[in-house]
Amino acid sequence: MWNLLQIELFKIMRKPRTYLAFGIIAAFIFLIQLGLLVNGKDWMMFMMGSLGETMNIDYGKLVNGYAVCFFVLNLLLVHVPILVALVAGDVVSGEASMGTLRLLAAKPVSRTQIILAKYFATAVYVFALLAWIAVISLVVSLAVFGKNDLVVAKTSGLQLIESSDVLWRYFFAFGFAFIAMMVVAAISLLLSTLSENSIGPIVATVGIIIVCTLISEMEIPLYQKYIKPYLFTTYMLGWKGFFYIGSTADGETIKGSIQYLPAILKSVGALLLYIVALVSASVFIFRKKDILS
Amino acid sequence: MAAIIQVSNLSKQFKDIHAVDDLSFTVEKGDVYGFLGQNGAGKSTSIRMLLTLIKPTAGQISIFGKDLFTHRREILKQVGAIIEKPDLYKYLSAYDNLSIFAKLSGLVPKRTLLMDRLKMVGLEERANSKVKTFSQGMKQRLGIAVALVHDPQLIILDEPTNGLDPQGIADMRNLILQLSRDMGKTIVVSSHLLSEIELIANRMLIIHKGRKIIEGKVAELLDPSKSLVQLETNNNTATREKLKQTAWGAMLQPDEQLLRLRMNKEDVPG
Repeated sequence: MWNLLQIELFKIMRKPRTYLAFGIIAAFIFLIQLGLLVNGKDWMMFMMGSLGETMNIDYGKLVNGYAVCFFVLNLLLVHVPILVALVAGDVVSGEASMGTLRLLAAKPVSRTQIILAKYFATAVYVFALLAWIAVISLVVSLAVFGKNDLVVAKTSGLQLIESSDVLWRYFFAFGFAFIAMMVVAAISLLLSTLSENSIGPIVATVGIIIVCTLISEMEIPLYQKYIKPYLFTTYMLGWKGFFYIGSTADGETIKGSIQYLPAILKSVGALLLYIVALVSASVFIFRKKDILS
Repeated sequence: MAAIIQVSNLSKQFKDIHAVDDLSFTVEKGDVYGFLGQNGAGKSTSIRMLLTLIKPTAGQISIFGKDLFTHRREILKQVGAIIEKPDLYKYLSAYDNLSIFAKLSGLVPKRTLLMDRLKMVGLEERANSKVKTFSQGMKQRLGIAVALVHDPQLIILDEPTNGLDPQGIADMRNLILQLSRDMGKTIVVSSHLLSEIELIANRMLIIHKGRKIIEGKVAELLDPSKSLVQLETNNNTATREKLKQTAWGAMLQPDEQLLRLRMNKEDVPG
């Protein structure tokens, strides 16, 4: 299994498409940072809205490294699934269209191991991609904008998180995002086992995410009650929960706390269930599949 | 001779199509076994079943005396194959491709071994070139190196001369003969060209519409002084039994559902 995983990682690392995602993300983060460096105060004033008129706010301090990281998180984690689908949707179908799947499946390795190795290799890629986002946005943003308290908008109003209470939330949010992205990878993998070209699974994965997100967002009682609880997209943005801080009865925030920890744990559980179900289905289908490519 | 491959009543059905229908044959140790048939006759489907890429609808496959699907990993460690055209990882070098497939075959590949295999197929100079820069002939040779990297006892080559120029075809033919003669490998090679099989195989099977037409020694099957006569009766089994009691019995072809006799041309009744 370790041998297969090494081979799969080697193949992913040698594909130019792998580095495309890293390059796109680096360029995108740089553009966000540049934009906020030039117009950060204006953006923050816009975000604060009418509050800025009633309170004396130092906008310069609010546009800090942590705020930029939070902004990057919000923007990127919506779009990273596309980059994940680009790689995961190709792992089986890409080999089928290239003609290497038949050589691979005729070797003395089990089909279950092939699928699991491909999924674990994708997991390493997703981890590297998220680590890349986390590190370059954090290091550059802190270097350029400095460190200060983070203001987070909630439906109930604004919330201040002390500078010393932010970093762990940031990394936990990425940990959660990793699990969410692995659901996307599992969907792509499943579609990839059913297809003999790469484009189909990639487009289908993105399509499924868009449709599920739209259904999750629609305030229609039928969807909200009977469909939304079963959609993976309902749980994918659970990482935001790490930035909702708990408070005492008199409204004082409690450092190091999470307001809705059970909801985060429920989301993690639901996403893990999705992963197990989707990967098991991929293994089942691939084991039964006649390789005709 | 020990049977390396023993196929019994193998069938594969894709919806309404019988791609392979009740096929039985035996490949013995040291054979260069030709698998001859038109395009769409069922050669590739049969070969894919021998490599566990396609699951049979019915029948048994035994390789090295063991059931293929029960002892799959153990058996496939001793099998090397080219399945149709040798598609490899185009974005990787010849050396990296070879290394990957050696590892998949259970080897810990050493540079000397890999370079030796590349040298055997005349690609040592291009070891570090990406496969996407290779001609069809070079890819085919690399495919052979991949099939041989783990020194398998059984080599299965599905249409290995497809897409090759005349020189490439001749080189492939020589390589197959060399593997058989000098290294004692058992080789199954499929083709739609009788002339190709005639030059390399010692035994062959002719397949048509998924069914076996005939199996035997190439020299005997292609003996110009002999003819194969097929009889049609209303009871083949009873006729076969009666013929066995006569001088015609020696001419009866074994293991045939059809009633066939191989006889000298001058003995064929008018």
